[in-house]
Amino acid sequence: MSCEHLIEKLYLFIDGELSPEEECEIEAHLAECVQCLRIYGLELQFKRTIIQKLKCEEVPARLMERIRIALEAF
Amino acid sequence: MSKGNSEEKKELFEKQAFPLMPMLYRTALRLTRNQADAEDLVQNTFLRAFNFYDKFTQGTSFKAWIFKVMTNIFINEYRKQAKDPQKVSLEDYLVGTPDPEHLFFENLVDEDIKRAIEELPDQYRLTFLLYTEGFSYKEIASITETNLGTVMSRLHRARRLLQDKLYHLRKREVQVSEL
Repeated sequence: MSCEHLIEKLYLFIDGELSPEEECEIEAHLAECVQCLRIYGLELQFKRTIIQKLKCEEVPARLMERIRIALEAF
Repeated sequence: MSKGNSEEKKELFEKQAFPLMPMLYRTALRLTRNQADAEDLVQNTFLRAFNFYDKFTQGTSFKAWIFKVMTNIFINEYRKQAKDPQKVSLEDYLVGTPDPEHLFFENLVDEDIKRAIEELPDQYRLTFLLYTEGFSYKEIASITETNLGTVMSRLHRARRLLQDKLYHLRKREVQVSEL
């Protein structure tokens, strides 16, 4: 597998969207290519950082209450 | 429907829907870009989902189903009313995207990330938010009623736009702190 091909498939790999065979090919390339391994690490970190930062949002208590009251009307 | 059945239905709905409220709320917040609209969107989603609960097939993904309800409300009602501040040509925006190596993830500020996401064009923002909530590409395609290729392309562009935006925000912060 070439570096170009790996970069094309990198996010499919990170997101678990590849077949087991394709995953093995990517892993084999990453085991031998420091450059691609570094890019993989950065992209993985990017995804994890975004997801983690977005999770820190609290639901306002009044919203929960509003919805409960609205559902009572049914 | 008898009163007993109706109560059972409500109980089951609440059991399935309430645990998803934090996910729905944070997605709504980034979609609508303000708290009041986000709360209305989530409330409308709950009420509409409850109204059409009989159409939900138990055993399939309730999470995907209720996100689809919210997506439809957002696209059909909120998006039409809202003015989209993003009028920058996408291709212009993508030119000169920096190497992600230069991103300083550990120093990214929560508000910068939220702002960068809120500035994404609607369809990219919606696709990306569903992605951050753990939906597979196939599920996102089903929720947004599009195909896999479009989902992949929107995700790719959303990532590039975000990385570009965050890189520039971070660079500006570093420059200001060095003054």
